[in-house]
Amino acid sequence: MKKQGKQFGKRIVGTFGIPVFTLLLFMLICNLRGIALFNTAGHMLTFIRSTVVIGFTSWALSLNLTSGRFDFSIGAIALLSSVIAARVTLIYDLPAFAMFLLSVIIGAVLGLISGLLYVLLKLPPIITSLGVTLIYEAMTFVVTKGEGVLLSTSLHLLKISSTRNLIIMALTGLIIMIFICNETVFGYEMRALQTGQLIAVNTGIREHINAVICYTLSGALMGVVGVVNLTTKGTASVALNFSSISTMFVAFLPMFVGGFIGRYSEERLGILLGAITSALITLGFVRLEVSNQMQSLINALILLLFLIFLNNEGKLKMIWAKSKTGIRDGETK
Amino acid sequence: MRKRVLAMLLCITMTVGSLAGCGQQKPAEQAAETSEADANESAAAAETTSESDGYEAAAQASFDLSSVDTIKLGVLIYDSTDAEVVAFKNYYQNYIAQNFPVEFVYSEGIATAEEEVSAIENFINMNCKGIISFSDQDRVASIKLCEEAKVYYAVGAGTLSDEQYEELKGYSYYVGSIGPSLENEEVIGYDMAKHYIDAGYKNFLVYAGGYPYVDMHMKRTAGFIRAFEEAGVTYTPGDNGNFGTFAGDGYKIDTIDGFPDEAGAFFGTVGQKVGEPDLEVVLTAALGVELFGASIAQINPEIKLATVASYTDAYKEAFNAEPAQLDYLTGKYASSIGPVFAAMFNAVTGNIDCVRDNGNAFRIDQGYWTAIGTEEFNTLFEIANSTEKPAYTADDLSPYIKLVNDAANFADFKAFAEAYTIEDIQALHK
Amino acid sequence: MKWKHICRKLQENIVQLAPVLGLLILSIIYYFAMDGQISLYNLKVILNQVVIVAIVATGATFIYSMGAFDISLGAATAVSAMCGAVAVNRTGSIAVMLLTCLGVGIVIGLFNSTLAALFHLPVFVTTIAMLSILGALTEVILNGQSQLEVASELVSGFDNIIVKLLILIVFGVLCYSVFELTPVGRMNKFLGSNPVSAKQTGISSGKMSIIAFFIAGIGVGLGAFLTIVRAPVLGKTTASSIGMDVLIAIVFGGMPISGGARSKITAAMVGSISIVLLNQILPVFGFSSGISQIVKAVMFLLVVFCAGLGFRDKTLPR
Repeated sequence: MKKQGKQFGKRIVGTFGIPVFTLLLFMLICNLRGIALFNTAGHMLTFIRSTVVIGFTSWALSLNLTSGRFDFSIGAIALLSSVIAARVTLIYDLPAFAMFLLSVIIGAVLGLISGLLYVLLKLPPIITSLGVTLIYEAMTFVVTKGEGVLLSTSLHLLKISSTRNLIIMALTGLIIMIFICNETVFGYEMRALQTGQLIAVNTGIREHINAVICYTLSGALMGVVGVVNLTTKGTASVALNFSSISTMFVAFLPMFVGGFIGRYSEERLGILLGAITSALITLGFVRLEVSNQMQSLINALILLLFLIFLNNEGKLKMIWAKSKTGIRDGETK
Repeated sequence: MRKRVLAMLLCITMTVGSLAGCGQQKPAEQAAETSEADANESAAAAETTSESDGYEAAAQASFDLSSVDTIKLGVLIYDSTDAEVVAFKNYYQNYIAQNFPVEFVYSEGIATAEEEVSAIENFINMNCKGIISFSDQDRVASIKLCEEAKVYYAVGAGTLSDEQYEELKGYSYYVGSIGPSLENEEVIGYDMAKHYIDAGYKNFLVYAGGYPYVDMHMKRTAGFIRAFEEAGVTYTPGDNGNFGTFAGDGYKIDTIDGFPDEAGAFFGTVGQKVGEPDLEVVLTAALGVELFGASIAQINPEIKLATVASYTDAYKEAFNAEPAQLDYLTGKYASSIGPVFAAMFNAVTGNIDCVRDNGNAFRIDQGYWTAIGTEEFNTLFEIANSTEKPAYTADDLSPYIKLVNDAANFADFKAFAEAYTIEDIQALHK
Repeated sequence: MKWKHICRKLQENIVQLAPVLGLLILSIIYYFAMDGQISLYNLKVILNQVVIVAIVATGATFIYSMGAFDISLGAATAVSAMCGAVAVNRTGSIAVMLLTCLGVGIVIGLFNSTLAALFHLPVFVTTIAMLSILGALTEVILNGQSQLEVASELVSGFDNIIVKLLILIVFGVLCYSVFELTPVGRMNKFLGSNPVSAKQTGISSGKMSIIAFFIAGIGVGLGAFLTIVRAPVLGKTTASSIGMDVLIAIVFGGMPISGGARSKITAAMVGSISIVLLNQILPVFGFSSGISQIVKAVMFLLVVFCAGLGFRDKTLPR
């Protein structure tokens, strides 16, 4: 019973330790500066919005990256799906929910095309994704005649990214992702392919279909990111020459944090908690008025430090254990 | 194998689809184009891209240059996705190329001096006779490169510094520059801030754009600073040349700079600052609607937003929203680049002498148009963007083109290009 | 049976030559696009535009052949170039500028590889972090200025074809020799093909990645030197596109992205020339920016697809 309790405690600490530590750290720093981390409703909105954008991007990236498929095109999918959805919505004067739904569907279709190209061309995913990125970016240019989309004058559409809606999106996304990845044949096959590609294929798992579903799902998730980004900014500018790939850079830290937390609970939940951690850092930057230059530097260093920790955990534990033994030895002597 | 061929077909279908999709035109537009083509064969030959038009209904020029062979001109652009650039391209492509025997080719967006050199080399390679530049990475090197290759070069929107002008004005293939000087950029910033200070506003948010890395933004911000200092506010510069802070004398002036990031910190900061109680005016060195429009609309639509941009559809929408999202705009308009084309056309048709300033390249100042309030904006927008009668029509330009008017001379051209105000343009069309 | 064998051999050869054939076809299209008038100037322009990407990409082939991937090459080139510019502005010596560029390029490469080797980090993610760190560093060097200029008189003497060709050839031959004639290339390819067996045969991936990043660092340094020489005005976005250009060039040149046995040191050169030709051809057809990017992407996929024919496994590539 005691052991079980200890296990439970360990799981709780492992699952919530990182975001809670980050929260406390930033609350402390803000407190020392005489401000509150969450002072107004706007700060909560910033935090939730970042959580959703980073969380959905990380889920999308991890669907393929955990299977060794690197996908540069997710940023371009987010942009193109939201731009088409916005244009259709504005032309036909559709309600906000329709724009959201359209963006998700178009994102899924774009992901599907990307996945089909990958399995049919049988080229390394990174190469297919380079081609697809260029094509989708260029299509954004073609669709908007190079001008992008302006949404800031359509107030009813901007309301999509209200705090309430964003919380609903995050929770629904989490439930769907946990269900798909853990309770379906697709999820089972995906995990089998992640751990042993050849063995999985030899046992009859249909890798092609699995990969295409991964891409489609990833596209749908990026459709959400696109629409949240668009309604936050009020505009979407066209990206060319790979400038859309920077969208994915925010997803690496939450993905690795998710992998770590996944050991104690569920990986998708872990990724969301990783995204919450990143969102807290982002809000911290806002509250402490950290310059852009410092923001990217701090983010890079945190990513590096976490990776160093993750890849050297065994060694660190050994060093920790040794130092403890050393102290004990010292004490006995 | 069949599957792979299928995949390739899918790929190619996507391309063809995009090509076809973007080339789709309404039958009426096609008909209009056909009749234009009949009227002016050489001009029709120049239509090389299928981007948006809008100039179909424009009146045909009263002169006839169909006997002149089509001349290829290169256009250097800083960002092919910028609304101003899209408007510029549209005017050249769909209006000027329809009325003059010219064909335009455009560079990709230019972000570095190296890309600028490559783009110029490509134009020279493609046998362009002249280059009109909207890119400003290393103008001195560009002009020297063109001089070596015997290709004419003109600055389409901007100017050279005194030192640069003295060094280069004697170059035979450097035509000249028309556009706002950096000093002018400072003045428009000053005027913008002064307008609101004079109107009694006390609570500001100042957006400095790419300060200190983008010269134009830095100058405009310097204008804001000067206006505030004159009003008794103290400005303290930031570390390492970064944007600083304001303090004192009854004013509350908050600051922000930089561009959006992927994680949302920039828009979080925008939300936080726009949400400050009592904020009255947001002064922006650029991208006002793009970066602040949504936050202002959601948090407090009463806040006045002022920016430097261009007279494009997006800004029309912002001015005409209920309530108006924009209060003050200083900007360029699509056909403001008409006069520089006239000068370039003279040069490439062997008549550079008629646009020489005492035998040297010219340097002409052309400022921005400023609109305060929706009504004024709409009036200016109509004149700037009339597809039937652009601010500078082919007939407006023709008196300064030697092939059309043998009496064309520099003094007249200078007076024409310098008369850029709205009253001047209205007078032109009367 | 014999015919089948011959056909198979022929197919393999064609596949092997796909990138070169692609280059040939592009050259023919270029010839016609230029109305059959190819002057020395045209060739000079092509070389001018090829040389920087070709040099950085040739050096980077050592990283790519191991199956690793560096996205921060552009940022590394920018930082090297800026340090070189600061050095030449302080000393007025081109030799100091060259040495600074090389030194900084190598130090960045070594830092990347040591970080990855010492802490067992995946190289790609390290380079993503480095991209941000180096980006911040360029801003520090710019120190609040929009541009960092070098007097063109100082460097213009080196802005000629002979110097560029010489650097390209010397570095190309050096890389070719190390890659093809010493065990380094073989070991790199082995690590790219099968890292586990490679390690079991005693090849140290840490050591090899240090060597690979060292050579890539030289490429970055030379690329930085030539960037200053070509356009002595450096800004926040200088060389920012090199990371992706290098990746595209190497793949366009027929090298598998996963590295391994089919890695070719010549891929970078073939790919860089192909891309420059493509960039010159597309504007002739008057495509808008969007359409020309689509055409570029399809061409890219087509060439890589052809180059990869005949190398398909039961499982999907990763």
